[in-house]
Amino acid sequence: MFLQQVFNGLTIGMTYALVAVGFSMVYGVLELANFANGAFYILAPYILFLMFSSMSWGLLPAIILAIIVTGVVGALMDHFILATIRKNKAPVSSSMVATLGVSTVITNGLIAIFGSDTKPIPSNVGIDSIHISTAILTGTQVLIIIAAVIIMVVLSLIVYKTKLGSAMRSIAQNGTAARMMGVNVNSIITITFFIGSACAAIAGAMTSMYYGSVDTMLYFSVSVKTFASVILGGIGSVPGAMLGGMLIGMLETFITGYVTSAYRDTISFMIIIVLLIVRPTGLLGQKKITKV
Amino acid sequence: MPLLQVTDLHVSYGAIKAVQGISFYLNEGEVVTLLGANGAGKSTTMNTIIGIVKASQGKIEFDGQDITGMPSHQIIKRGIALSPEGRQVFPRMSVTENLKMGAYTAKDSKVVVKGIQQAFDLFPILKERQNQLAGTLSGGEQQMLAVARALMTDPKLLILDEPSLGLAPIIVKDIFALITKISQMGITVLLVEQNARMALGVSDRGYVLETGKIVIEGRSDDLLVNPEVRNAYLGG
Repeated sequence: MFLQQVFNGLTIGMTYALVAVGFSMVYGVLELANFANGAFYILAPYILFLMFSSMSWGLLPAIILAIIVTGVVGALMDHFILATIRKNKAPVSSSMVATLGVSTVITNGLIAIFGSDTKPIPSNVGIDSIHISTAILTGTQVLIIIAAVIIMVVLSLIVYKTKLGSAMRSIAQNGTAARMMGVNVNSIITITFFIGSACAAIAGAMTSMYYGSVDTMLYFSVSVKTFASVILGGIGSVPGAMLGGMLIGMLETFITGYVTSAYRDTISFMIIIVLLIVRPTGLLGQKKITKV
Repeated sequence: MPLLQVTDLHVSYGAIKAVQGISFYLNEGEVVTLLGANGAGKSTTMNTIIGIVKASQGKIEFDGQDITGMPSHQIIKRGIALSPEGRQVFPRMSVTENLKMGAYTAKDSKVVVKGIQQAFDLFPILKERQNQLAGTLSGGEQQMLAVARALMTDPKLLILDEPSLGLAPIIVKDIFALITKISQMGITVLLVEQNARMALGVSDRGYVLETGKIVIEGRSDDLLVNPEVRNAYLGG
């Protein structure tokens, strides 16, 4: 029982961590809470459903297409909507409302096209289950854990070891100075949106495969959990988002397993409230260094 | 033909006219000072040259090309580097990472290696602090880092915006000695300062900016003895 809870918590935690990292990267470069991130998370499984079930594509090509399309939608949102808002020097809150608008368009568009009923998503990924004493790690769980670890390692390498990552961090620390160094700030932000949205897409696709279904209600629950993860880990911190996502997933699974499932989605809210009072910078968040 | 030619530049922030029709130029190899009190429009002019702020009217030509209204990343590629007012280092990056950011537009990794070597030669203290986060450096060290970062790509034109601001007098002396050294490396320097005596001491020519307009211009030696300049900027 305990080991099984660890496996389940780890799986869910990995998906939360992935969404939270994407959200955090965007937050880092713009200090913008991207409300459309949850919509990108559910957009991917619907594309997967359309390609796999209706057009009988293979699972892997369908997943790849879902990830790319979602990433592009995120990048386009930035390029056509948010970049214009930045150009007009409107406050970040305008961009935030715009992302809320985009998320509404996407979620309602999905309901209009696919209906509001639950859609089946294939969950057989062709990997054998692993039995460890009485606990089972299903093929989907194996895939989620391996894929999430690889992606998070790659993302960390991008952020901390590449020129693109340096550009992202420079914008996060001092956007004006980044421009003075010759960083093309707008295109770096658009690339960041692509990566962030693709992360949400990967997590969304994998979670829907894990549950075997998708519906638009997932939008709300994943949004809350993303906020909880980034606040727990420390807003804008990439390793913090990973840690926060993992902890939220674990906590949720254990409380559901050992106490009651009635409060599953409430746990995230409680974590947000307690942390904002006790430790607003989160576990790995940094206070801004302001030195003149 | 001058390396930098600014003609009838106007810059506004909404209804506020920060720069009202200024013209000046820099010949290759010169050190030119732009003097002026707080709010005279000095930093606005620098930020407009580098493309951070857009001009509402006028023309900026660099190295024979019109760069007015170009995005910053394209202007910087052409060989202008700015050490901004207030240092503006990346606080949560190490000294070395900050220097690498200075060479962001360089395609060749040899430029980065050479630039870092040059920075450490010019400022040995930065070598000692290379792995330290820039936000934890002292003000003087941050200023050195900002200058070193701007020098990373061997720019044709280096703009130094108030490099002496908020620094101890002994460090200010070092900074001005450094300007002469940079000039000897063959880099044209545009120096923006409030410290008129020091600035005119190291520069060939100077302009005095008041409320968005150039009111006096001339050779630095002449400006040092100009009664108006003496009264306003040199304490009589």
